[in-house]
Amino acid sequence: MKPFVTLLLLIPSSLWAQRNLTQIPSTNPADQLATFKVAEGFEISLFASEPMVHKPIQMAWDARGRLWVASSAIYPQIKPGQTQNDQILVLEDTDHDGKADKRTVFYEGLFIPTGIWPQDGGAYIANSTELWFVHDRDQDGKGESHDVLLSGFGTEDTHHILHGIKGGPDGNLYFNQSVYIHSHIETPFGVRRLMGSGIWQFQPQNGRLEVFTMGQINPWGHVFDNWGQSFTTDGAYGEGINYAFPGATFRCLPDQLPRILKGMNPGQPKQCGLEVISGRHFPDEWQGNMITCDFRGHRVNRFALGDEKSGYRSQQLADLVTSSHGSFRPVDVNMGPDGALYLADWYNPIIQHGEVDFRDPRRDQVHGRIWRITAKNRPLSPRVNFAKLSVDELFKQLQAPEQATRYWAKQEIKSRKLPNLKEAIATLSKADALSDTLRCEYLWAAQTAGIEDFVWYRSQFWDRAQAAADGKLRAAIVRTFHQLIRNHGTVVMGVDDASRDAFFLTLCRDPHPRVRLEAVNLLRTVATPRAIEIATTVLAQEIDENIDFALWRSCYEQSNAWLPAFQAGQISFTDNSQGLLFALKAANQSNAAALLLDVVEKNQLAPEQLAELMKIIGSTIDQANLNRLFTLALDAKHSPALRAQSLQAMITAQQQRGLIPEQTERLLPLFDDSATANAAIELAGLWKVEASRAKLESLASSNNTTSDISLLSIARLGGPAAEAFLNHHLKPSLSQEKKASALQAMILLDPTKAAPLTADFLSNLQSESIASGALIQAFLSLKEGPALLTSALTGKKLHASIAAQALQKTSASGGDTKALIDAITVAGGLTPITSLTEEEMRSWIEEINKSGNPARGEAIYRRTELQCIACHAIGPVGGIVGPNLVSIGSSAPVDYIIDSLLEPAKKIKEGYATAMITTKDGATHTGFLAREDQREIVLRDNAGKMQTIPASQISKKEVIPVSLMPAGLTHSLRRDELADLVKFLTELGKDGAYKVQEDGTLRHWLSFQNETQSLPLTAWVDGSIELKEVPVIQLLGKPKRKLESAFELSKDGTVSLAIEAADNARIELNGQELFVKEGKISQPLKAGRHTLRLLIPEPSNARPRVRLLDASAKAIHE
Amino acid sequence: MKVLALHLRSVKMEYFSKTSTVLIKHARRLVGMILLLIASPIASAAPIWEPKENEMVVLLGDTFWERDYQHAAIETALTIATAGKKIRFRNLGWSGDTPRCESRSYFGPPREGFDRLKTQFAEIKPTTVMICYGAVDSFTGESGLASFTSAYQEMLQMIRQTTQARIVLFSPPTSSRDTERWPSLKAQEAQRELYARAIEKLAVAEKLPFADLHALMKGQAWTTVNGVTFTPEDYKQIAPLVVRSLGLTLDPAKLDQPSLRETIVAKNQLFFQRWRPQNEIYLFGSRKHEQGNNGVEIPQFDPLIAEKEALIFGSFSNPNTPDQ
Repeated sequence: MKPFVTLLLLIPSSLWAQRNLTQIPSTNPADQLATFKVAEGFEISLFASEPMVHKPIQMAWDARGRLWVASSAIYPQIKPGQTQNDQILVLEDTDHDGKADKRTVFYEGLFIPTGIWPQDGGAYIANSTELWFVHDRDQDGKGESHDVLLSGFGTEDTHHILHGIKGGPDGNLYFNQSVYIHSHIETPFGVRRLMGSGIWQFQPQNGRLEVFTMGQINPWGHVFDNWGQSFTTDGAYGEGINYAFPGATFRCLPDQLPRILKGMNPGQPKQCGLEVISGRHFPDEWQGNMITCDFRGHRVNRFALGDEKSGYRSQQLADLVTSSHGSFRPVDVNMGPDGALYLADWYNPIIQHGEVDFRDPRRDQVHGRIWRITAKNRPLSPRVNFAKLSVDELFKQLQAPEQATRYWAKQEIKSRKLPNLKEAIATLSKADALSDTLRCEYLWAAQTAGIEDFVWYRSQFWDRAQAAADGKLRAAIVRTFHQLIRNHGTVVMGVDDASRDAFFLTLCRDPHPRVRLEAVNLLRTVATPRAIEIATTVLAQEIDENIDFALWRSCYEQSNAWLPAFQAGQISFTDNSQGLLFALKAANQSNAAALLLDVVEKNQLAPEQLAELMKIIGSTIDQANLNRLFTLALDAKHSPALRAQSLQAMITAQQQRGLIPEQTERLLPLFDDSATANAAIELAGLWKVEASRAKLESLASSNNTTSDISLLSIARLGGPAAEAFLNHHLKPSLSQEKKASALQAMILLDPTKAAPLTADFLSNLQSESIASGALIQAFLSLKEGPALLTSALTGKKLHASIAAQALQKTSASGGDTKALIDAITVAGGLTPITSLTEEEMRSWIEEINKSGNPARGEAIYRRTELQCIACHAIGPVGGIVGPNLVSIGSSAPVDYIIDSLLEPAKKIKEGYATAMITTKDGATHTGFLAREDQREIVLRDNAGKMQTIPASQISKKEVIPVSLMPAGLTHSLRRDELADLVKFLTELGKDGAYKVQEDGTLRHWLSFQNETQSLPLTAWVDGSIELKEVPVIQLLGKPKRKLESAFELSKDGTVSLAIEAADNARIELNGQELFVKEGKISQPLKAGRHTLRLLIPEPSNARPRVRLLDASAKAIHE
Repeated sequence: MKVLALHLRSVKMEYFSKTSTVLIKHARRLVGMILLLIASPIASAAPIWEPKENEMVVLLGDTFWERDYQHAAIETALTIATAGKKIRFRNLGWSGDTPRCESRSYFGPPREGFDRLKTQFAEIKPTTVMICYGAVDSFTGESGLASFTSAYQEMLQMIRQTTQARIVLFSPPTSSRDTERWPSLKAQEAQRELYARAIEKLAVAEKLPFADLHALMKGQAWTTVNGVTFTPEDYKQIAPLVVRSLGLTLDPAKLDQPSLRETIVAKNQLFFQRWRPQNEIYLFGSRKHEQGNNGVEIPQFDPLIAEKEALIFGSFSNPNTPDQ
């Protein structure tokens, strides 16, 4: 505590030091220990604390059972003049009493080291821009000198820098970088660049560095299962355990690929270090479980994994450790050499460094803890002295239940440099009764030792694995093949081209989906014309999300190899039209359009297939093929659907790239056909078909459904005639709807003239509507629009609901809209609570702590007009536009939360910055930057919709400090209500009633508005439903409420659900009535999706809540 | 020896002339011959770059320059070779960089890095820029040459527009000859040679001095870290070659000055934090609304750098400095 207090006294004037000081917990380890709650059957004790260890970031056990710790007192930012003096520490428990008793500084002079891996007679260290290898030639635990192995890793954000070094069972090293990092590394295979987040794979023996996976916001933990498959966690994006295979790509910012994979537990809090439980000390039911750290919620989570098709499913179980200690920050977790589980506790009341000042005195730079978790009454695992073992004994250790033992045995075998290793492994592999996992270990022992003989692996492992119980061993072997082929090309296979392709075909036809997944990944690195044609044969069997993604990525990335070959007739996807369609869609490039046109013309496609292909055609077509497409749309011999879709594709082509076909007046007859009318009328405007004016005017004047769109097209045609026509339509006698449509058109034609007319129109409305929203949006999308609307609103009065709507849209639009926000606030008579002085903030915090009521706060949070729930999820359910608030209370200080509510632009979470694109026509577009490449920029708006802007049309791109969270959302709240809301938010994620429990509760419901139509309804944080939020409807003449939820079963079996509902409620499972016994129902069910329905007679004061009691059942949250 | 020296000096004076290529090549061959004959002291060739008082020298390039910042073998050798002239060095090497500034952008396209470099030139005001590119591009072989050369020309043009600096072009360092250890480098040496000659040609066309480091390095077997980057021990051997490639004189006996080298390393660390600070995105980028107030700390490195430089210059004026 002492150094901390001193620091505070030194900076008495600091703004931050004044706030929330009372929340800084006792730094006494005994006090911290007292706050821990550990799972039944386990106990926790202190292994090491300061001064023995401080600020641990990554820790790793070495072959000799010593604990290596990367630590930094400099983080988050070096001060001018501060020495780069961070350290790598080695801790030892020499008397094996469960406490560290020896500390050695292995290496110092480091600069925020965030990764450590002791191996190869020294240690690999992530040091800011570089990966080092520090030599310890005399093995005294002190490093002598270092080589810079790799350099050029970015440091744009110190909690994103190179980190998390892990040795894989395949002998490779893996390490991560997070989303803000841009790295440029010179290797003997050429330069490697990674612009954003991902996991690197490094082959120490040949210096090869490759991107293993891309994405995740802050990839952190990384472990391997017994089959060498990778699992990762993420310190920012909250999807729990991710299954990662070569080329897997998760959420990136901006997106590096148009498609991504998802984690297995969406709605999780941020999680860091990860470990897989293995070894004799832990009970059987824990084996293979994944343990990770929720550093914000002060808890250690547990997940159980199971196979699911090519990948896995992951189910959360009860936490291993929870704590109410605000400085407990578990960041890394490792199985120790004694079989116990060790936790690195970074120990800090302040985390990360975005929201809280670098120099905030509350930041702790001196403490740090290592905790040890053991199972009660179970013997520890035996320690192994690898250096003393014979080669035979080392091979025996490959059967050890402890994963780390098997790892170090392989490393020791490598270091022995055995001249007859291949023969030794071949002899061992001859035994018939070997388990598949042991064969895997032999495979990796060879790979770790640097054996690169493909033919040998094929005969020793692949040929023998054909009889394997399932495909997991074969999947591991294909992964090894993948590395050999990438290192040396297919020549390493030692066969002719035909045999090579036949072998690849065998891999793609394997009965096990994971083998097919590995095959598709392997073929991505084979640049022969046939590789992709072969890869698409996996479509003949069932494909899941993983294979679908992997195949898409292979087709997409290898399009330069297969597409020209296809066009030249060298490959034909014979009997595999499904494969061709898949590959063409994936290729999504300019020359694909003509090929796709062939496909749509020649084949009868399902409507959704047709729509999908036309989407690609529209965004990739060139001028010559556009004329062909136009002809197709005009030709009555084609189906109406095909013709309508062709027109839609031409709309896309015009909007994205300004393409217009020849002889546009041929469009006119299509106005008369209901299938093509809408799109044709829109095109008449977009193409400025003057010949259509008269017809458009008559349509606009009619009461047809096409009148609105005709008005817009007239505006697009422009000229005095258009103006006169629109003015005529603004006559007072016309209906509001008609006027709104005419105004929309007028804004297109002449926004300056339209502005005062729109302001008049809005001020006469009594409530917000879709039309009012559309008019405001129309101005916001124009460069000069906000200024025009601002001056037009001067002196006008707006109904409060319209003002709120306008504020929301304006804030979300980005750009400099301060003047417009002020004008709307004045016109709507709103009196906002905006920014606070330091004094006001202090009194707010006091008031919230004293009288804020989280239960009332949650009710306020759920109010529809506040829209919190529409954009932010809490745990697995809710909107995805804003950050998930599942643990906001345990991570963000109160003042931060208040600021975020009052001034959203002041606090923007990483990944939620807004981009503003100005196009050459003067229009502005705002949204999250979803993806960017040389061809286009894709923005995601606050409704989650994607908008593509071709690079050729962009005149300016800015990232602007504007939040998509609308300012002024809290304007309608009273002071006490705001205090309740903030109190609720500050409780989220803290140990207590507002921590989302992943206990199988069904949280996503459909609330029926009438007999058939429903709206989604999110459960409260405690998992219950407030019936007041569900309308009473008449069902068979009786007033009732109807709710529905769903879950999924991974295998056949009996499922139990705990049901709390009204006693007289009717419970239906898949339409069949079931009766609750002792609060439960049980039912044998098939694998797949099941629907649960509650019918609750009115009146009722129940608060229904339903929980799945079996791990094989999983709630469906969307 | 004297005759040769005179001859070489005349070469230097004529390097603007059209015949310079031939002469420089000739000179290089002669230097090589002398070196073969006389291993020590390091011979004086005619300088292709003559250091002036109070120069500000920027080292611009890729991993090869960047790695020197933390052991400063090259910079120490150059400092000793130009002793008494109070020359300051700024190492702007960036791993994996090319003349397109591909490593220098953060979130934007390479152009952003190019523009940032321009701003840095305007701030640093170099009087000499020593450029060493080609190692990265050489992996693209013959097909990448045209793009490399045109990007290089554009960069030279930018430097001339932004600064008054003299410019020296270096050929890229050699790659490992041990292609059994590093099989991926089998074609690499030939490609480096190709790029070295392209840079030489560019130097002639642009009337710039050309320091053929590649030619001086390629005869030796380097330990290397991974076949393309070098160990601290390698750098110790390379440093005198860099000096020699400029035609400067260096007494190898004076090279071993650990405290001078440590001061230079300390200065370089400060400068690295100055020009490539961690947390860029918070201090100056899209999240500066959160931590931009701490951006004021970054210029506070300047006086610290100046302090170290005073020590470096002082080590040459104080006869009692133990290393001297």
